Amino acid sequence: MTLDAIANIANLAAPEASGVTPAVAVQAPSTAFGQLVSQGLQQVNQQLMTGQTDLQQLAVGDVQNLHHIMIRMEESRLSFALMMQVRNRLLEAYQDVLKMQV
Amino acid sequence: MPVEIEVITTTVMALALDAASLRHQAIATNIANANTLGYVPKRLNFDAQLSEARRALQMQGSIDPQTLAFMRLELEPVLQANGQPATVQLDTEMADMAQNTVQYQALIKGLSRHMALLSAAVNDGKKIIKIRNYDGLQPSFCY
Amino acid sequence: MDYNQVFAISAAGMALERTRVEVAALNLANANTIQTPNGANYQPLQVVARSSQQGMPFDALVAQGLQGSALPASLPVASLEPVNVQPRMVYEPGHPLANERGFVAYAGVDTATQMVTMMSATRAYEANVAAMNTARTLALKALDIGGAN
Repeated sequence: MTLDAIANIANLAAPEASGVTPAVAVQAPSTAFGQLVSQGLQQVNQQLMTGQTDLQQLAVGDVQNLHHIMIRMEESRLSFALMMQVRNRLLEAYQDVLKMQV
Repeated sequence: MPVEIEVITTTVMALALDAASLRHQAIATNIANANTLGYVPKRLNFDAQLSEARRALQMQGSIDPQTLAFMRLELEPVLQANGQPATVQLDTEMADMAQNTVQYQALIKGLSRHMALLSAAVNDGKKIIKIRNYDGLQPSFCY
Repeated sequence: MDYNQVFAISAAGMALERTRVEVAALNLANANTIQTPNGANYQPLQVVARSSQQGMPFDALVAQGLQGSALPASLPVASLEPVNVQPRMVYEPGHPLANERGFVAYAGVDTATQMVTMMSATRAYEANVAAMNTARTLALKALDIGGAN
């Protein structure tokens, strides 16, 4: 299942780093801003993958520290929410630019 | 098509929840029959099937979905060290029940956070999802 | 704290204290048994609890814990050992099992010691139960990280 939110950023010249297919080949962005965005996406993706592994370990039962899992899940949720808000602001800015009269 | 990691996570957590509820049934049966003559306490044998899953989790960071398809939950009688059937020890059963309770609630909490993250992605992060507290009186905002 | 292991630790402590109470009750039940003419007598039992981890001094355990590795839990292991006490001699010349001087040999069970052992084992059992309840509360509170819903 691809995240609809991330698919909308493709027009910003940032490589897509979906939370479910980490092995997709990405094209290297040429601008510094594009690199910033791609790094942020990869960090969020890494946190989400760590959260999935933690949940599987909890289900299997070899968990030593329950609070570490809960802290990491909360961090990944917050970073994902932050990424969504950044994406919303970028989209608004892009639509503002589109509305400008030439 | 390779199975997505989130599908694997949801499936294995649902399986672990099944195991936890079945384990609670076994513990409740053992406690209810604590003074019954000739009763052999029962236990869930789920942990033995998890060694393969643990190994895959260590090496690849995710459980192999083929392993999940062959897991069966069964109750087996508890034997002592010399092979004789054991008797019901109430404090052992209470300790198992406490641990099982914590495991069940941790799985429920983890699963609800996991689903909340996915629903935030589906809703584009804009829509506010109202969920209710346990007493059902006051709504609280999710995102 | 391995939240899987902490319940097993409390369960081992509770089992030990329950064994102690059972042994004290057994000794009290046999307090008035009489030594038979061929010499067999009831020897009161005592529970000797040792740690299951031998040969490791305390500072080595602390150093291992400080380095971040999980402390191996040393669970108590109980063994029942007889206490060698002299039988309690009571002067009853008309008793069928009295010896040639008129004394009857009762089992040397010290009732006061058994009662004190039973009371202290009960308190230790309650302490183990409190430890287990606290561990469960801590684990459930850890699940509330990031909001209670």
